[in-house]
Amino acid sequence: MEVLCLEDFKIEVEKLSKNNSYASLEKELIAYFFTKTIEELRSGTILNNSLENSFIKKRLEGSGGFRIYFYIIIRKESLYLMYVHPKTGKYGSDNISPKVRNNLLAKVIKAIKTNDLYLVLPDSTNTKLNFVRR
Amino acid sequence: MSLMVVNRNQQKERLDAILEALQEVTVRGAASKEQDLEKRTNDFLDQILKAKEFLKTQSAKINELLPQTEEITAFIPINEELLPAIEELIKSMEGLASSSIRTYAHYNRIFTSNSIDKAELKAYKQSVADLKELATDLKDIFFVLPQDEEFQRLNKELGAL
Repeated sequence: MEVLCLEDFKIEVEKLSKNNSYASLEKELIAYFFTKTIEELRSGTILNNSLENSFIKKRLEGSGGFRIYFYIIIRKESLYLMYVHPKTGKYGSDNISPKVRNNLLAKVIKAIKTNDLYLVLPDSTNTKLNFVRR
Repeated sequence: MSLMVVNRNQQKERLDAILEALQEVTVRGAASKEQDLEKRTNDFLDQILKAKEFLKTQSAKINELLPQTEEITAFIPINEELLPAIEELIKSMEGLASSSIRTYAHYNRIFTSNSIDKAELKAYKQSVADLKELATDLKDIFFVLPQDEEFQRLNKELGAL
């Protein structure tokens, strides 16, 4: 399975990882997204009533005490990381609005069409993520 | 017999006796005050421990319920006959979230004014926030997004890629 992401997601992860509150974020991402089958990754809140092209909101509780929500799309053999927002810590924020959610969906559709995506890979120590432009 | 008619030795004995009695009363009073204070402190600490245990149990129960509740979003396609039951579930979640927020505020006041560690209280607050957020998401998924034309159009487009 390929794990891909939007540029916005890459920027956000890089920003959050620099903050002590979310120091273990990349490790948690690797532990969650790179060790599971597609079926297991479908756990979470499916927002669009579709099992073929699931738009999922997933909550993760970091070992560092932070709580974080991911918006992902699973289609065919690919997982698209779209957006991440912490609920707690310095950058903690509330749920996103339906309008922002629609914008995200539009953004990922455009990125898939134009192949404006990053391939996300864990580094050799499984603690950091590498983002490779496709 | 008054002090006036007793001799000096007797007067001294009387004074010593009174002083001793007075001291006894004072010591007993202090001991009783100390015991009472200790008992009240112990009772208070017991109540705090009970409150922390309650918050811990409630958080664990809510956290256990969240993934189970999320699973209903995998009921695909949406079964219209289940919508009233889902609506009732959402209302119950909202009701629990509201009462839990009041519980949080209650304990937060007590814990803050007594400088008590808030680890359990913070975890409880997060669980309640997640519960509230999931209730909002369920409302969106089953009742709002199916009517949201833009969302439906985008999903169709995603499916056609």
